Amino acid sequence: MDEGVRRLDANRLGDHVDRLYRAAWALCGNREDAEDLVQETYARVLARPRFVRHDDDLGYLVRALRNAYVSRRRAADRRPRLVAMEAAGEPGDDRPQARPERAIEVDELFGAIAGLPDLYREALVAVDVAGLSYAEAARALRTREATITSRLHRARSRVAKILSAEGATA
Amino acid sequence: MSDRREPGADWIADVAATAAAPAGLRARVEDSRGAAVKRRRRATGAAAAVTAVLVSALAALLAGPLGTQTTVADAAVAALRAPQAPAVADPYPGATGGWRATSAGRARVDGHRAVTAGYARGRLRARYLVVSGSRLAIPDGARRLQVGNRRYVLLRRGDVNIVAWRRPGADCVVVSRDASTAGLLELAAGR
Repeated sequence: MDEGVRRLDANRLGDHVDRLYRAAWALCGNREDAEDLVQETYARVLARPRFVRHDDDLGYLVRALRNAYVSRRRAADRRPRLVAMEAAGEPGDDRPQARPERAIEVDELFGAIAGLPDLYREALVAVDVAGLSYAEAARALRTREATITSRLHRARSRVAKILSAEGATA
Repeated sequence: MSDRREPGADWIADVAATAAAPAGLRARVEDSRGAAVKRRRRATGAAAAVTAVLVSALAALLAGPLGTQTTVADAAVAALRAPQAPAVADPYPGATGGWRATSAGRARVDGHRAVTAGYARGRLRARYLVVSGSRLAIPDGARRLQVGNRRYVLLRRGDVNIVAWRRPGADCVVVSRDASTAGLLELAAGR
């Protein structure tokens, strides 16, 4: 076996559920789909032993999440679209310290990210939302670091523009 | 929202970090994770039991006048101890007699590449071992069987059946505690 390759430790996968959930929310644009996507990602990853290089567990999970997202979207494109019910009773963040105004910002932010073109969205989700380094993001998305850098720059600019426009109309 | 900072990297990361997975999702993920760990423990336990039997079987096979080949024999035993992972596909497609691949492993010991594959047929379990560049000695008391161009060596040690043969550049062994010699020959025929 190659040096630096080790088995993905199932016992540590639960540590990343928050980051994956955020990434999923930013990809999907809503909490319900994000929950389904995270659950599906874990089910896929846990179905059989997985091997990762170095300590890149999160990078591996982000790539698996992105692949699951692409699969779901392709499948969804082939069937009638369901409209999500308004989430009234169950907030996504049930921690007591969560602030209502921050919850609104989160909703707006992830909505803006979800509206980005695929390549920009994926770079932004990997680095700013999931917390991968540029190098990890490049590996997870199978591209070059320089590409990640330029996509991130454009993605952040677009998010700023979207949120500024929303702020001006609010 | 007029007092909001420019949404650069830090702001995005700060805002995003305040979102946490709902308790229901955590519980479902934890259930999946726990179930997977249990599944893997059961599979590892079964594989370890089979490996222990097979290691002793190979040791029995190799017992006897090994002469200068002892090091290679030890390497083969060590190769059988190599960790097995569930087989995604049969590493040696073409299994006959209803055998299907269940696990695979590989190792490099003393310069000899060794490949192992686990097979199952119903409740029967067998392990296939290939040691590259090896010439394992044949113990006394072995029966020989010619089938086509291939010469098999048949052995029984305690309740363990062993079938071995030689092919260019490698020695091959199939071994099982519960499968008959005939069953092992069916597995060997497709190798």
